[in-house]
Amino acid sequence: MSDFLTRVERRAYKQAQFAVRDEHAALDILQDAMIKLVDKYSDKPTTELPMLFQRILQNTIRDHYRRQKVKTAWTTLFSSLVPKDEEGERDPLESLIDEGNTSSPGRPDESLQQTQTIALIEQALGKLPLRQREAFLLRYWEGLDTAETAAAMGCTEGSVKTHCSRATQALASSLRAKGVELP
Amino acid sequence: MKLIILVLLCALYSTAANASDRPWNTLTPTQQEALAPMSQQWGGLSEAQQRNLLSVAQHYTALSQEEKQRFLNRLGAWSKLTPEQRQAARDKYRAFSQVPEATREQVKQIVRDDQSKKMP
Amino acid sequence: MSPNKRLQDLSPEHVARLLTQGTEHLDNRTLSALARVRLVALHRCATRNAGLTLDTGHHAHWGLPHTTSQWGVTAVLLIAIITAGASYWRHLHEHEMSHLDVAILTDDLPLEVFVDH
Repeated sequence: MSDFLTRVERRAYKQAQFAVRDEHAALDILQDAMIKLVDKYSDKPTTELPMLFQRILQNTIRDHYRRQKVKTAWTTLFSSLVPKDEEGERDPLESLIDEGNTSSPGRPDESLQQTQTIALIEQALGKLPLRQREAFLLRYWEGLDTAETAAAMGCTEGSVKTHCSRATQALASSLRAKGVELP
Repeated sequence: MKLIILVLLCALYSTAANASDRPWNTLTPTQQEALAPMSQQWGGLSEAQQRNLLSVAQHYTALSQEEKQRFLNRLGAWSKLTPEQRQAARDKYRAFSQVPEATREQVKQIVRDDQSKKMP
Repeated sequence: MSPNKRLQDLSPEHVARLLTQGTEHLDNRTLSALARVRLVALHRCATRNAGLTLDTGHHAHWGLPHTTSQWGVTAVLLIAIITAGASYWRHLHEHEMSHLDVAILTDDLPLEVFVDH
């Protein structure tokens, strides 16, 4: 289990971060998802873990989204009474820019251009609607097939295909607008 | 966050306290003066009616001497009415206060004439 | 990467490769936070402790309920707000009613004019 978590933690963290654009929230989500996995499925064979973990992770991200919506409403309601919540008030774009500057320092053998391209892709991913990003990442990054993606997302294979193609189009046009050229 | 909960709980508590039964001897002297005609029946009134009378009594100090007299004279009869009768009277009064001043004066004149005839 | 090639369609596989490269240079602060998160999750099995969230050291914000006790607090808050709202409207109504009552009780027209017997 420990090896499995170590193997997936970076990608899972990134997935959460694309979705919530906040590193603390992403770490919280990751911790919640890992705890659920360990709590419920520590006796499962290792081969089943990736799918189970993806399903839990996506659910946790969706839950966070729902809570965030309510929280925003509450924050607005009480904004006059409660001292400003710095975590909630941050401009998501600002944190993305920070991310680009600080967390991808790049190795000497890597071109600056590539680091920038990665930052722009991550930024474009962050702007996708939740379900499109989910489908795209599961299908192409996690390498699940359409049926597995549908199972992890709790929707039909048809929706997965639609989400994926929309996501690809949106990413392509968003990156083209930024002047990024990809094969 | 905790502060908000505290404030809300206080609000809750105070509304709960407001709604509870108030013995006559716990009323303020002003309240007792305004509600004097009710002193005997007070304990037998429903909580809602007590609450209603207490909020009516709040306006007592602002009344003129003449209005205070009318108020005290009518309070007993008023509280003997059924809630439906009181509500109907409120509706009627509201409707009456919305008719043009001239019409209102006419009605008042008719009522005054009517009363003076009744009086010996 | 071949920047001289420009196609209409984006290759998801290429994007995926770049994303993976992106995970390879997370800063040390993030990496140690990840390790801490993993250890917390793993130790959770042994020290399963109902009620309180485990502190990962970056919990300074008030998020929405995670635990039973937080749900409890939220429920109390909601009930309080609803009750307060209801009692506010009731007070408003009673306030208007008491105004009318005083007006009827002090009007120069006698009470009988407004009361149907």
